[in-house]
Amino acid sequence: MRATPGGPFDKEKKVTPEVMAALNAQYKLDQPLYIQYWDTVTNILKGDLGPSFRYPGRTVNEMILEGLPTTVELGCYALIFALLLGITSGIIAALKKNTWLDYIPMTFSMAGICVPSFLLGPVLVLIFSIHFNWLPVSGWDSFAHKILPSFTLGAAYAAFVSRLSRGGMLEILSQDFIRTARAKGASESQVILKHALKGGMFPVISFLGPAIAGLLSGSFVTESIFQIPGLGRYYVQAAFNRDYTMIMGTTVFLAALIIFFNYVSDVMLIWVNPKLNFDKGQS
Amino acid sequence: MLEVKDLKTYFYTRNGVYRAVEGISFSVKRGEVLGIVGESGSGKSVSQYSLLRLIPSPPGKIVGGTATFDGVDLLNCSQAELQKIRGKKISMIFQDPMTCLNPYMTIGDQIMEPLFIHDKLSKEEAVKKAKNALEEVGIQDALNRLKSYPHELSGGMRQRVMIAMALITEPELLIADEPTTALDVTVQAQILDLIKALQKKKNTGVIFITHDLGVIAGIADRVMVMYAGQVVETAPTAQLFEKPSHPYTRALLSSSPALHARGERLKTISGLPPDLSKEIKGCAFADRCPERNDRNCGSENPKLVELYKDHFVANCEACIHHSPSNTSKA
Amino acid sequence: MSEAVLTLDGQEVEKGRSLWQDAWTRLSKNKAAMLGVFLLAAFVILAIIAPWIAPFSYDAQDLNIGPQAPSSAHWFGTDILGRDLYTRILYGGRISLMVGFLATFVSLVIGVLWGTIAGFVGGRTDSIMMRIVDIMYAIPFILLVILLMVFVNTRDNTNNLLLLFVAIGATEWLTMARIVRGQVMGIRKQEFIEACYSMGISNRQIIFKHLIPNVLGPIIVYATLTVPTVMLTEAFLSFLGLGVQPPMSSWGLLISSGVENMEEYPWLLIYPGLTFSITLFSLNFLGDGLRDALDPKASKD
Repeated sequence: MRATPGGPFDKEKKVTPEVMAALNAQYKLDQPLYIQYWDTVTNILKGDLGPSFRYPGRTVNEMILEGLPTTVELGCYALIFALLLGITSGIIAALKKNTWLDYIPMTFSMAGICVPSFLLGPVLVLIFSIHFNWLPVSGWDSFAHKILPSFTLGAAYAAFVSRLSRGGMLEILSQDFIRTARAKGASESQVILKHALKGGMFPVISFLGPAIAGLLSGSFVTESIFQIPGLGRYYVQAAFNRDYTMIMGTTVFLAALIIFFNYVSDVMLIWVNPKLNFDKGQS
Repeated sequence: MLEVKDLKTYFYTRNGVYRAVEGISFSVKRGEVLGIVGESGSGKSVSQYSLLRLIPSPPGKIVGGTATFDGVDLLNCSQAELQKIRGKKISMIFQDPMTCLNPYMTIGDQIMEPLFIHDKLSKEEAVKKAKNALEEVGIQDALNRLKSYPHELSGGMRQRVMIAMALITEPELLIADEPTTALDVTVQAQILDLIKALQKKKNTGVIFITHDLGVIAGIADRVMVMYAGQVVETAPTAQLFEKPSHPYTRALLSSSPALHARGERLKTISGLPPDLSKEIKGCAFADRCPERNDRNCGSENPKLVELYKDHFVANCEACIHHSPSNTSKA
Repeated sequence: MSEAVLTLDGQEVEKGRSLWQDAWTRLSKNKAAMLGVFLLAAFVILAIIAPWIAPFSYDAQDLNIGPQAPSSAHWFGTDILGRDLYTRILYGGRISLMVGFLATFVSLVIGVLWGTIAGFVGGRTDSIMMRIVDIMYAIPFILLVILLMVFVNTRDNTNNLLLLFVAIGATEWLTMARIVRGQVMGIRKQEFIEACYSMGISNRQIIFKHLIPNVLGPIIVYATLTVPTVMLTEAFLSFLGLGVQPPMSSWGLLISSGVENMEEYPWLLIYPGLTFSITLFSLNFLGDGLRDALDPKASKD
């Protein structure tokens, strides 16, 4: 990172060499690179992500904690929306395979995958905020403010979840044990909810890990478009401003979060599929 | 108890209409074991699944016929009525217990499910009954076993679980679709004995589907031989083995390894089963029949006729006027 | 798996059809996939011949006209600096499609090599190689790519593009490697490979004549589905200002500037947006169609 040209103070008004030297000394930029690296790593391990270069007097930790709740809130809404819409439409599509109730949700979900959030968001704003004036253009204050961003961020994931649910359900419903359940006299809803659902949702659950990772990184764009004061927007700004510590800090933080959620997703997979646990126990 | 007339089930696929069951009729009395024998593709399984309407509905369709069980028209009754019969009055066990048991549910939950659906028992009562059922099928440590998952059990045990699950509601009719085919020979014998014992004890009617004549000999009271979606011969078991009349039955018997002396060359039936997506003119077995005549075998499809008491066979010369010296004793 | 008229006891049995023929039949029946092929081919051809058919030069500014709605002179209108949008979309297509296909190709090559070696050699080499993949898989790559693009931002456009290919390609090869390795291992265990060995065919022949054709199926499907993912990543990066730099255009950049001006000049957003989405639709439908055609078990009906 340090090897790249351009330092954090270059953009500021011209400062005299002495002041430069003092600033560099304060932020330890004049130390040899390996010492800087060592310092950074030990600090990170201690949980101290250092001060922000861009905004003197504020530490990275502070700024992360400031932006995090908003981003988490946005992510949660988007995820809940994605799961609700995705799973229901996927199950319906699987049950009514090859009818309109299958084609329409699947086409919409294809659209969700093909139209990126930075295109979808503005288009939605164009339609709903500017043209119809039903919803606010940007910001994060009232509930109305939260609708479009959550939808924009969640759309692509709803699309994936929908396709995965459909696929998972179809796969399970074609299995022999579904026929056994019917032969026992179970009603269709019992067959679907009690027998098919657990296995059918398997692909959705394995998708949760990457989905959360995607939601976190997707928040950059959504927050930028809708002017939402969350971690994503800070990250984008830091990248532009070459705020080293901020970038490092947020990257480490986000990476840790993502790795954590992938782990949780793996654990959930094992809980849902007892066979996996058994195989794992055996080896 | 069960009376089936002229059942027809077709599959409508991209490549044509597959006539899996082309007009079969049979009946099962209370407490009787009917064996259905035939090679793969003969329609034996499809015909029984049709009774409970377990055929996947595109592409399959029950095209004709009637099936009456204790006065209820199985093929046309409402879904609600059908669900009351499935698992309670008529139960099924399937060929491959690994794929037929839900891998995500404990076997306890699966065994108790029919009790909750039909008999509306409380949890405690159901657990007790399930434990007894497992013990009846010979599974030790039943109470703990209830918490196991299917993949934790061996093949033979899984099949026992299936049997327990099917019999727990004391059905009047049990349909067993090749329950021993996927098992080792020793386990096969155990399972067969188990089914026989339980059947006698509860006086359950049984329809036993298999391709193995040896198994049929051991368990069935009457046998129905199917070929290409049709019934070619039906008779009481001993009678069938003593006086097999249809060329196909005779060929089956003579090709059975168990019925040959050591070192003798196995006999096979030449040719392949017919393509059921094409309409068959005349007798379906004609192409492979060693006794075909060219007068009517290719043009008429012979109907069943009662040759001996309770012994029905297709009405053709080869069947009726055969030479007894070709048969082997069971 | 080749065509043959088999006879069994003198009776003719149905002709066998090769796997590819079967797949092609299935694919051609899939209307959505065929539409995708058609559109994709059209776009690719347009992109290739762009320099010859574009009515204007992509950086020809005409500050006098400024942004204009679509007209007969400018089919898609003009942007803030008076540049013809249709031309910019054509040229943008060249970049976006090129990044898409090339980065996919990079990830394909790396992934296939890695996966084939791991799967074929097996044993400890396989364990080590796949462990590396697992570790890299856990790292959220998009963050690293962003970091990379931020800090290695050069003025030189070609270097920039190269970096883009490498960065994006480096994120996609992991899944490809996994798929290929899985396939290779599956095939390797099959009996016909043993039969080959016993006939004395060399390793090299086995790999090229037997292994790879059987592994091709999922590779093709996954590659077709990687292209839109790559294009999305490129567009995403361009949107953040980290990808292609002006005056060159990519669809991502065009969309990005379209967003800035969408209130007054909506066409600046709509046309690039439409073209991008349609291309992605085509690729995805094609990829889905290929998946259904090549793997009957995974087929949805």
